[in-house]
Amino acid sequence: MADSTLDLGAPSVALGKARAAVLQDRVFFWLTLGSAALVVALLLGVIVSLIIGSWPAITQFGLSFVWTQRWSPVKGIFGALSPIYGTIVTSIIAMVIGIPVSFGIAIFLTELCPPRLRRPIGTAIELLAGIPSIIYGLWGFFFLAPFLQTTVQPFLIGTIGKVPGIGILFGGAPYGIGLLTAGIILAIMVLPFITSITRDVFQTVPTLLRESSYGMGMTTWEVIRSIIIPYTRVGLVGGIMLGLGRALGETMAVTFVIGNSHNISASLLAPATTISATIANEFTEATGDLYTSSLIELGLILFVITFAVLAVAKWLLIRTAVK
Amino acid sequence: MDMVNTEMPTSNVPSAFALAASKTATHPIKLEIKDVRFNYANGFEALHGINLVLRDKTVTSFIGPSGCGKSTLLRILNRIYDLYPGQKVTGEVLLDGRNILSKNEDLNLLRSKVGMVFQKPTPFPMSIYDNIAFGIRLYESISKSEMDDRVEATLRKAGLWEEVKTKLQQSGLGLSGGQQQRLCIARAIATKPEVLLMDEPCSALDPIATAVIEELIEELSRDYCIAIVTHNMQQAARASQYTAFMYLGDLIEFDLTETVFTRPTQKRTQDYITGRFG
Amino acid sequence: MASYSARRTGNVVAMGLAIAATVVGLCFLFLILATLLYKGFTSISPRMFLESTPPPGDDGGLLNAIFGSVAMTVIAIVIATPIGILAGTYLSEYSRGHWLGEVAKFINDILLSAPSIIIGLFVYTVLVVPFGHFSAWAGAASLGLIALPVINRTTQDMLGLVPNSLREAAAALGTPRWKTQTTVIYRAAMSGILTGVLLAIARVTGETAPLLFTALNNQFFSTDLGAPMANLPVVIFQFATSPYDDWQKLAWGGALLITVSILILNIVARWVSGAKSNLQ
Repeated sequence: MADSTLDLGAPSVALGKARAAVLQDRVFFWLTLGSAALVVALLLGVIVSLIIGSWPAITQFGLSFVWTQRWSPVKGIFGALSPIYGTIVTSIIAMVIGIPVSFGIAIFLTELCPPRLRRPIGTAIELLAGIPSIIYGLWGFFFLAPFLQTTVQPFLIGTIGKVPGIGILFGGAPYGIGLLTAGIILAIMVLPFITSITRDVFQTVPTLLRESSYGMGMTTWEVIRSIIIPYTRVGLVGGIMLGLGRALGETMAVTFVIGNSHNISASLLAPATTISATIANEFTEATGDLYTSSLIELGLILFVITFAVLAVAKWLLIRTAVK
Repeated sequence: MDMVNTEMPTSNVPSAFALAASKTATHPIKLEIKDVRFNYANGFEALHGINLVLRDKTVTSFIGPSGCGKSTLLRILNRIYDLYPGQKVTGEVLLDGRNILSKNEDLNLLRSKVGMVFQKPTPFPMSIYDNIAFGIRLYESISKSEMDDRVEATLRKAGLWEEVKTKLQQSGLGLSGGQQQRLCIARAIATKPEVLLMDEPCSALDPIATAVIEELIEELSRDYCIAIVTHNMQQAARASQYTAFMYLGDLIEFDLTETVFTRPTQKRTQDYITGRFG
Repeated sequence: MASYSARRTGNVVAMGLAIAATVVGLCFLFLILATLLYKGFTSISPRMFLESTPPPGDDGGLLNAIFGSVAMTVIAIVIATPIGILAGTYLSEYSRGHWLGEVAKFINDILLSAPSIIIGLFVYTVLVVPFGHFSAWAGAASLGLIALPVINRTTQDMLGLVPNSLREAAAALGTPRWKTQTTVIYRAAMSGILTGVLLAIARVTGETAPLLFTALNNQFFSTDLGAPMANLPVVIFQFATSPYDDWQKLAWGGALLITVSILILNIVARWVSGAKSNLQ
């Protein structure tokens, strides 16, 4: 740095501090850059460690891992089909139940709720997001499952279960635990997320559009159905994908109520397993490299699925400029 | 020198023009602006070659309609535009003969010598005392008692001391709008800068606060070279010795304030002053 | 177009369903909290805080688990907070719009929403396998990895709210960039950043999956960070799925403890973001 610029007539103390500041600025910049880079490195580390960890299983089973149902630690044969099946089915159930309920709550909060109640009710719904997974698991196992076992499930078996075709979905004995129960718990867990994003997205509809629709004499439901939802379509799907991403990865709540069985059954009332539940249940007892490696490969598959879902969700939400 | 344009409103400061005339004669040049051009990141040229001088211990006001580039020019004088990548300046700005636009310039040191007050009062989220001490601490090491004296002297000079002397430890954000702006002015002069730049310092304030600050500016002009951008022509007429009128990135007219307001040489100046546009 | 009365009926039905949905949602919340309170309340006693986890059939408490959870959470937050704040500072202040910065923000958000069990797998591979045993350090690391993206994200958001005029005012005094950041900008955003840290703590409290194969569990009270350490979530998991009544009772007590802590953290976070904003 040419000295001619620093002799602004400044006394030496000032010069000293100014010179020090250049170094301090640089150090601070690299500290912040390093921290941001560390976050990126960590994610890359996750991906790399998952791949390395599952390598023995990948080389052993290849692509057939994905559609093999057999899971036999004794024989050393592992297949991801039943965990994948359980993950997908429970998530679908969670979405089928969760989306309409979330939309209903969002509609209530934005259109019907008296302004004074809006904040408390909104906060209460958001509290659901703060409850940790294990609490849901406990509640599901000790409260919901027995309840379903004694009331809802026998009812379902006795009614829809008897209908040919669809009845397969509700066949079998009422265990209380199983795919349906896990799906219901997941639905409650994703409720606050989808509701919150739906509310935000609904708020982006221009007031003018809203008012002119009502001014035309449309009912609230018609405004929502024909104006608001089409307008916010992209953001809504983004919110749903975000909820889906959560449901796919949930572990503890599901582990308690899924039944932990590697069988695949058509019935929603049957015990099953999901990817995260399998890992959670079996990892610490896994003996042998192949067993552990298969579990890690399950983790890799889960990561790939959730990454894809989250990336799409983010892309959709950015398009609607909703955070 | 008592010739006042009948279209100008009366002010209660005794003939500003008389005052101005007595001040301008011998003050040396502090800042020389030579053929300065400015480009925004998108390529748009906002200043097309500006040439003027700012003299020590005088107030120079910059007037002109919105978008004429007066704030842009001001922000070149302390290189605050450097915060935003992509903006480019060519030409020279000589502070006491030294070009501050050179690449080697230590910007922080420069800005401690060329202070700026912004349109919106922005006190730091700390006590009144710390707001003033902040700038001093940057480049000086003085004892606590010395600092106490400096803070008091600065606040007195800014006309704020009586109002805040009992609440120095309270947050600067608790003051009224006019007081906050005076705090910001105090903060700027605490470091004993050589030049003071003011970008529409009164436009966010009520008339009473404005009057107080205009008095303050007049006081300060005894010691500092001041450049003030203003939308308020009456303020320019009252408060400055020199006036620069700008329009769409060009310097249209630059002269003694009295001349610009009573005998402008450019028609555009005349039109702006008489309110035909702006 | 349907007749007016049909449209009106349709509207009533739809709105009724919306109300019903809200009631359902609130009911679930109420049911969960009520169950928690009902089953966990009887376990709350001084004994729970003074004694460690017992073998089945004996009386005991959760001291070792509480200590372990607190210790690992503290370590996790102490490490994750400065890194998270610095990273958020870079992404919000220094990388303005640059595409690398946008990628880094995206990656942070992926990490934020990634299943926590996968974080556990990663830490297992990196901090358990090479050392040959589970440890509290590994547990703390996995909790820190969950807190880090949360703090990063909230810092970005909070710094983005600080008006540019403040930065310019500090720069105009000749303040070096790092000093502007640390003494002016951070102070202006402090309540928001603090709220982010509190929310990260709340998020980490109760995380079970990542601890399952990092910190594992420990029957006894231990302060050895290099060894497996008891923690509330894993203890709850183990005790609740066991056939022993005593253990199940303790599990509910622990669950209530966790939930109350999270509730308090959320309330404090709300208070912090509300009260300190009076400074703005």
